[in-house]
This record gives sequence, structure tokens and C-alpha cells, in this order.
Amino acid sequence: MRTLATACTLLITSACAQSLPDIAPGDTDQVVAEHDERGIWAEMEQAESALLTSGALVADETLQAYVREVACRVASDYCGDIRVYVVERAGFNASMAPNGFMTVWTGLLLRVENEAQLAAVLGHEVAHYQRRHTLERWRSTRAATSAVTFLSIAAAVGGYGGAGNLVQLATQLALLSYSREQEREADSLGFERLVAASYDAEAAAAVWRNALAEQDAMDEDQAPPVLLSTHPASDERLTNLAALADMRGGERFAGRFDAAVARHRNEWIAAEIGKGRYGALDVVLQRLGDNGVASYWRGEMFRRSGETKKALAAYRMAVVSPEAPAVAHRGLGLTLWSLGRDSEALRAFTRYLVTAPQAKDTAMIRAYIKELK
Amino acid sequence: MRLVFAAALLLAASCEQVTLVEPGTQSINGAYEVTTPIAWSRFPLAPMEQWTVDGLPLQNLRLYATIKDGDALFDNSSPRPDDGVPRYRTSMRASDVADFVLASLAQVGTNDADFSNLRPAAFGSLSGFRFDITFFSSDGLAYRGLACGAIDAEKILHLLLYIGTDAVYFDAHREAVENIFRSLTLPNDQK
Amino acid sequence: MRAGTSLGFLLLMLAACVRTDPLLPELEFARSAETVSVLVMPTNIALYEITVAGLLEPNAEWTETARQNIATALGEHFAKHAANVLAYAPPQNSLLRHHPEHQQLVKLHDAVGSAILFHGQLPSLALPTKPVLDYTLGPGIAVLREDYEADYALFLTFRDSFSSSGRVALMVIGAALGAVVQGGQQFGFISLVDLNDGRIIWFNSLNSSVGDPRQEKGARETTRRLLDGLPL
Repeated sequence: MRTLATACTLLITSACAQSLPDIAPGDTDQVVAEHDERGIWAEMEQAESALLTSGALVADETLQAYVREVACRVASDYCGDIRVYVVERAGFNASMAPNGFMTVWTGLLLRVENEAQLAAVLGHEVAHYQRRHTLERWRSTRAATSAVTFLSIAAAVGGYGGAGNLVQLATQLALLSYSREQEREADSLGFERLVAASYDAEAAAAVWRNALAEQDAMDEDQAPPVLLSTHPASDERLTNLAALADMRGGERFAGRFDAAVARHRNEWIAAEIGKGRYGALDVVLQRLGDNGVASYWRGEMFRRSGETKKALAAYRMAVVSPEAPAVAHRGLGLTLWSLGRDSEALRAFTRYLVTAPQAKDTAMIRAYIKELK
Repeated sequence: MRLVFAAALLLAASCEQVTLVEPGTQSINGAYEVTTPIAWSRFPLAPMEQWTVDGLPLQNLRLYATIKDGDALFDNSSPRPDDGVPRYRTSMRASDVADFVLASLAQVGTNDADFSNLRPAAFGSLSGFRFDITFFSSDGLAYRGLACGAIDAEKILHLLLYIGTDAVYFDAHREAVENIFRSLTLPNDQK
Repeated sequence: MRAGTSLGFLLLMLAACVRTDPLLPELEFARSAETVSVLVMPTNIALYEITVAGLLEPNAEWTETARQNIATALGEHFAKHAANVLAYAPPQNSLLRHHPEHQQLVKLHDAVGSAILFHGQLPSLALPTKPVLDYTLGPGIAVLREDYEADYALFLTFRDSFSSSGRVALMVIGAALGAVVQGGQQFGFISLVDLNDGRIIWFNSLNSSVGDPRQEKGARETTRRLLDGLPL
């Protein structure tokens, strides 16, 4: 048994150590000459085709084009090989499929502060493609689980249940996280791409720092941000990226980024708040600064967690701000009502109906008003 | 739709038999009663029941008896490696419940979920609410839905959720579900 | 990265616990004309190699060979039965397998297929409200009839897996040690839709550990079993 375990360890180590040559820009024929890679590409093409008709893509063509453009800038010579899709999904993540399609979650666009930070993530993902990290992951998993299977056979004989269930590749790949070595590689290649495109060199470290800050604000039993579970981060990586960035400068393009995403932030926060992770979401809201949208959602978090006084203060700030959504009046009304301040609640609900006559809940609000009267 | 598969697989594992719900009055775990004009196939997943006529992937009526603070709507075995499961909170109002349903649908892998026409509606003797839903399954098939719920004095949420494919199977039993919603009575209600 | 092929996924999950007899709705079928046209929808097909550990590795060459072999065998079958075969033309220069106006129909068919397999294959999940598995895709099907002037549409979903040599060795070792190691398995679901009213007038499912569609002969045999009982 001991010999077997040692053999397995050797197998795992050797599988992880082998590194593949880069995909050459535009040269997908040479790459798919690899037998297993061809199968994976075919499967991923199906996944990509399914994504296109899944209803998950953000309908805003301008936003899709904008993110594509940023990706192209950092992908440079790989621009023609990469396809970028912005998908409507909460959570801090972007992912790169081995055949070159990248999904960028709206939750990521909510969290990055400027175009340079977006470019840092996209450049990092392009590096995963260029270095064929998914294939590498697949091969090492295949080798590693082979070893594990032999162990589980032994376990089965010992009475621990049968071995070898069939696992679908796509599911398997999605759950695998990159190795630390791969992350270091993608950090360094991604950083070069970021700087080559004249973006702010600090942006890469900032993204990971922000992801870690969000994780710190979570309860211990909560899963980390998805980006961190698939892209393991560490203080070492952060230090390296910060050191690389030292005094390099570059553009952030915060204005251009804001113009593309600002009008969506309200709906993207709405998608996050349902998860109930208020501590982590508050970190995100703080980065958005003191504006009506952030104030409104802070009010929602406080009201939903029963902190009525704080909710009231946040809603009060929101309703005087021009960019606050109309529902801020509803939140204010519900809060005042729960405090027994009926006449003020009535006024807030009335304001809501005046501001948003087409809202999805006008019938409900009219019933509240009737009850209050 | 993975969510129905997951739920039904769980059921298969528990070896619980699918039973026939005859037209007539049914008690949902003692929390409320409904009267159905048509027969359904019933999949119990206590404290919730799932009813369908044509099959779970095509349409199902989920009857939640007693949703308490911290409860989730769907089984937690989400196909998405994701952060945070939406949970019911006693601080919620009708519009929050609609958000809660949408967030729960998103969590189990549906796309582009939205609600409309949130309105007051009687839930037996309680003042409850209703709203309509649209979403796409993770594969992109269009679905529609109807929801009917109420929060009682103890802040317990009762909820009925009907979803079906936009083509054919939602409409197939929509009338029956509207009748079921109208038939709701609570244990203390006058018959 | 979700593959989005729930039907294929379901087939895989059902592999372990299915009964093997084909499912047939007790439907009356009358051939409406002497020569009928059958539109063959893009085959949802994938072949895998099972690694030693039981991971499924997609094999593009096998998939392509099997796709061609099965298409040829289908053509032969319909030629024998005086049916005119029309191939679905996917959009050009696109990753999409179907035109946007057909997407929802294809997805609805997938969902109906899932319902048939799910409730029809496992006796404990049979629906008291649906003793006969009689399903329709609804009047929306008219789009396909008008676009192709076809009478019927044929949908096929097929998955097959073959053990790698390492896996075969493991099966032998496992058997010697008294453990069961799963080998290759073939699953298929096929249906015929009446394009006049959208009804699924015939369907069949296949679960088998024999047959090899990578070979012409094997593909013909697999196709014959898939089409067993086809009323055309």
C-alpha cells in the first residue's frame, strides 16, 4: 500500500511538472493536432454554442462591444482567436475556455473600478488561453485521478464503496481550479499584456486586493468569491504584482469605463443582494462611493437585516440624490411604516408611484396606500 | 432544467412513491388547503410538495407549506459553484419575496429571471400577494410562472409557485392553477 | 462553461438504473401519403473515451466518424422505406446548430425528451396523470413544416463511451478484487415529430453496452436498434 501511494505521488508530480508550448496566435490547426485537445475543443464549441442561445448574454450590444474591445487591446496578437461574452450573472468571476471563448460575469464588471482593472483580469485570462492551462489541468487531473482510482479500488475491497463513476468533462473542467504555478504564470504574462497596452500597472494588484477584501468581509462558513476559488490568490502573488507595478504608471480610463457600465450597476447590485452576503456586498458598495445607488442598496441591506434605524438614514440620503432609483422611495416608505410613522410612509409611497408610474409593483403599493389611509 | 432533475433525483433516491392527487380538496402539510379541479402527480419533498401533470421538466406547481427564517426555496445542491444561497428572512415584504424567488431561480441556474405585476391577493383570510414570472432555463428554454403567497402573523411565508414551458405546458394547466390559488383556505378560516 | 446539454447529462445519469425495454406510446399511426418527407435535425452526438479513473474524455474523431456512419445508415433505412430525407441546414459561419427561429422548438423537444426519459424510464417516477406518454411540441412546429415542406422531423440524441486500455485493465483488476468498475455504455433517444400538429408520434430509447458506431457495420446495427418500431 505504501509503495502504491508513493508511486501515485510520483505520478501526480510528474504530470504537473510538464509544461506545454504556447498556442501560436491564429494558429489553431497546429494546436488541435493533439488528440485530447481536439476532443476538448469540440466539447467546448458545443458549450459555446449553448451559451449563445441560453438567454444568459447581456442584451446591451454596446457593452458587449466595449468589453470585447478591451479584451482585444490586451490580447493583441491573439485578438482574432478570442471571443468574449458578457453574461448576466452575480459574483466576482471571468473564465476562459480552452478554445478561446471567455465569459465575463456582470458581477465582475460591478467590482472592477476602471478599464485598467478590467483589462488586468482579461489579460490574465488570455494568458490562461495562450499557455493552454486548461489542457494542462485536464492532463494532470487525469493522471492524478488514475492514481486515486487505484487507491479507491483498494478501498472498495476494504468496504468503502465502489470505484469510478462517470464524470462529464465540462463539469469536471469547470470545477478544477488553476494551479498556483499556472496562476503565477498568468499573472506575469497578464501583467506584460496590461503594460504593453499602456494600462495602469497597479490595476492587477488592485483587482486581487479587492477580491481578498471581499473575502475578508465574509463569514467563515461562506464560500469565497468564485474568482478566488478558481484562481487561488495569495499574499505572495499580490506582493509580486505590486512589485512589478512599482512606479510604472499608465492609464486607468475610469471615465470611459463608467460610461459603459454605470447605467447597469443598479440591476447588477440587485442580482447580488439576493445572496444575502451583506458584509461582502458592503465592501463593493463602498468602492462605488457616496452616490444615490449605493445609498439605496445600503438601505435595502439594513432593512432586510432588520436594522431599521440605519436603513432609514441610508434611504434618506438616497432619495435626495439624483441618481437614486425610484424604489428608494418604496424602501423609505416600508421602513417608516414599520416604525409606525404612517403619514410619512404614505408620503413616501405616493412619491414612489409618482416617480415610477410603470413600476412592477404599483398595484401592491396602491394597496399599502389604501391601508395607510 | 437541472433544478427539477436535482429535486426529482433526490426523490428517486429516497424511494418515495409518486401519488395521484384526485380533483378535490387537499391539505398541504396542515398549513393550508387547496381545491384542485384536475388531477396531478404528486412528488412530496417535505415540507414542500411538487405537483405536475405532464412531467417535472415541463411544468410543476410547488406548494411550500411553511417557509421559516433562513429557509431556501430550492434544494441546496446547486449546479453553480456560487457564493451565497438566497434565504427567506422574516423582515421581508411582498416585493422582497418576489426578489427572493428571482434570486433563488438564478441560484439554481436559470437565466434572465424577472417578475411583473406584483399585486395584492387574498390567501385564505390573509392579505397576500401575487406576481408573474418569466425566465429561461440554463439551456435557454423560455418558461413562465405564477406565484401566490402570504406572510402570516408569525412571519411564516406560505408560497405557491407554478412554472411551465412558455410554449404549450405553462398554458396547459394555467386555468387549474388560477382556480387553486382562489381556493386557498387556512386552518382557522371559516368554511 | 456549463455544457447546456441537460438531455445528454440526464442520459448519463440514468445509465445505471434504467430498464432496457423501449418506450412506446400506444398511438395510432396512419401514414398519410405514399411518399413522406422526413427532416433530419442535427444529431446531438458525442463519443467519449473512459480514462482509467472513469473521467469521460471527449473524442472528436470518434464523434465525427459515428456522426457520418449513423447519417449514412439513417439514409439507407429511409431509402428502403420510400421516405424522402431532408437534412437540416444549420446557419452558415456560425457556432449555432439551429436557426434562431427554430431554437425554442429544439429546446422544447429536449425538455419533452427529458420528461419522457425521466418519468418513463424509472418505474418509481412514472406519472399517474400520464399513463400514455403522449406529448406535443405545439402549433409552433409549423415553422419547421413551412421552412422545409417536410411531413415529419427526426431528432436524435446519442452518447457513447469506450474504455481506454488502462480502464479495461482496471476492470479486470477490479473484477479480480471483487469491485465493479463501469465500462463503456451507449445511450440514445430518438423521436419522430409530426410537423402538422407537433405531436411526438414515436420515440425510442437505447441503453446498451454493446455496439460500436465507429465502424460502419456497428453504426448500421446501432441505427437499426434505434429505429426499431419506427412507423415509417
